[in-house]
Amino acid sequence: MLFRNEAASKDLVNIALPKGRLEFPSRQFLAEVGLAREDADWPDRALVQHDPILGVRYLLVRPSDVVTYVSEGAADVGIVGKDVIMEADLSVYEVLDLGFGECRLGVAAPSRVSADYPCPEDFYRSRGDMLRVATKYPNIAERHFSHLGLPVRAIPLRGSVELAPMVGLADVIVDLVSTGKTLETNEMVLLEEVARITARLIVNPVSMKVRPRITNLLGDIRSQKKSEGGGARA
Amino acid sequence: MPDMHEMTRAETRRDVEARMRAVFRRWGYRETDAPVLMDYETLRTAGSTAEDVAYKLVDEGGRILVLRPEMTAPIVSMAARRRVEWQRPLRVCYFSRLFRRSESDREFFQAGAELLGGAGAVADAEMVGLCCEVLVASGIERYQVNLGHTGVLTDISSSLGLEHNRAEQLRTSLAQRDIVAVEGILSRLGPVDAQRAEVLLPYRGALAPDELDSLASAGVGDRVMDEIAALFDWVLQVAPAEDIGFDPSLVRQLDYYTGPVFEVYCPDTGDLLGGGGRYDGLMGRFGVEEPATGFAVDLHAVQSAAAMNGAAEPLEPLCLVLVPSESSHQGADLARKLRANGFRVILETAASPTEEAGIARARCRGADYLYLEDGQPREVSPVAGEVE
Repeated sequence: MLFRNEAASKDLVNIALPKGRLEFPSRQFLAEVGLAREDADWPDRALVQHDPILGVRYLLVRPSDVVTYVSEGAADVGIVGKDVIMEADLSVYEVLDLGFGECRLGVAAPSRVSADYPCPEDFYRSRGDMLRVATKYPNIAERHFSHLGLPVRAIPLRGSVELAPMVGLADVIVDLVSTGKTLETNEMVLLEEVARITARLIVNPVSMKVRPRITNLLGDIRSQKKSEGGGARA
Repeated sequence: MPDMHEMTRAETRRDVEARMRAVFRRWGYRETDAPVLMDYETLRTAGSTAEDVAYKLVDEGGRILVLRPEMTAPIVSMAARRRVEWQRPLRVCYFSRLFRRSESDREFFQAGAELLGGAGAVADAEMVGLCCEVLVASGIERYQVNLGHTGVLTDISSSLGLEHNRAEQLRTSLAQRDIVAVEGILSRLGPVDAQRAEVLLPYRGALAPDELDSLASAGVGDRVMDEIAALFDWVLQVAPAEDIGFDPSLVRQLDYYTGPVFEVYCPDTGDLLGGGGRYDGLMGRFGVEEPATGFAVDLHAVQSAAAMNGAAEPLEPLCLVLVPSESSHQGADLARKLRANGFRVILETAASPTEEAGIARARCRGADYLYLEDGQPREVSPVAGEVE
């Protein structure tokens, strides 16, 4: 609480950045819009970095935690994949499609069992009363299949989701696919696409209302992106 | 004492509630309550979006019940059934424990008020004014009120000629705060229309009363413009202007609102403290056509904001009465007298207590005064350097 108040009084902007594959393009984006220095030197393993001249503090967190930091107000702004936003179902403003980190969220199954069916739905229904879905995204999976009217049991896993159908733990997986290499190696095929994923800029709902600096910054970024025409898409 | 805060959370909440209750009473509101287990049908009839997040269970007769996720639907349903006995305009307030499916706060506390049968800007402004006064009484020093109106989006959608599906998509995207989707919808409009619709985006900050013209040029009709102006006029009577603005992008999460709406934020903690608005259609779903408006505040958010200002009510002095067990009778007598005079009193016995041992024990108990058998008060100073 003190932390947040101190930040607000100095009009510091707290930005939550995702560790991992989105980290570098996120920092590049921040440099482009003037929220980070081009020549900034990022020490390894530092979880918090402070740029007193720009008035920005960077919090380096797990991608799946970015939405939590922002919705709880520990960070005003965050960068995170659309997949994490869809799964979290928390209250944040999603203001900009940053265009990078592009991949697909899809349903996949072992090719040897699914190849005989003309369409994915026939395959799903052939799996008995309850389709078992191994995934890092149980909420998205349940929502997707309930739209199709299919009863599913989501099996939440933290990683190596492809393993689950091989050992009979699940019938299908719902996971991110970027090149398709991982699926191929594990003799799986993409049955359908659930969503196209890119990185998004998200904002705490109250910061958006009570912090003029943040609203102005976002307005400026929006104009900049619009006049560039490319890069980020609305 | 690190877990003291946790232990006394109910106490501080009751304290905040008591201050709020006094304000509600002064504004002519009576306190009501509703069963924690409510009929699922009531929520369905109200068309409440809280329906999706309610905990559902089944009773012995096979009826579906929910743990109440909000108070407006049950109050409105009760008031509709008793429209003769409960005279209108009806002013009621409540302090309630609510439940919603959520990973973080599945149980939370709300205080709120409903004004049933109250129409027009006066009633709308009463909600804003009452809400602000309730917050100030709770110990909140700084707050920001954003006013909104559901007609802004409706009018702009129709002046843009959006077909029903598109307009609904726009409304949902705004309610979900998905600005990327909103921009997607705007990008399919012509450049002039897209430009006009930009007032719906959250980047401009709230408008002052003399900046409302931009709404009219964005396509907001005369009726809504008049309502907004009248609301502003009244609200400025009850709250300081620098804390109030009109926010065209304000969309409340529950979807039964039909006119002016508002939200109150705490800039210090960055929390949404509360909000509300007009919901004229809701009574009609329960068979009574009448205007209605209301608001609710989140007691936990209010407590944290008030605690930052150190606004907790000081407790009465605590006395330790320490007597030998053979004199427990006199001790009890003394304790009774002190309590009657408004002190908090702990009565304990010890084998022939000395003054020194008594003071040490009183300090342990956090007492301000020590009384021994002689009935004389001894002040207990906290030991220097000790952290409470």
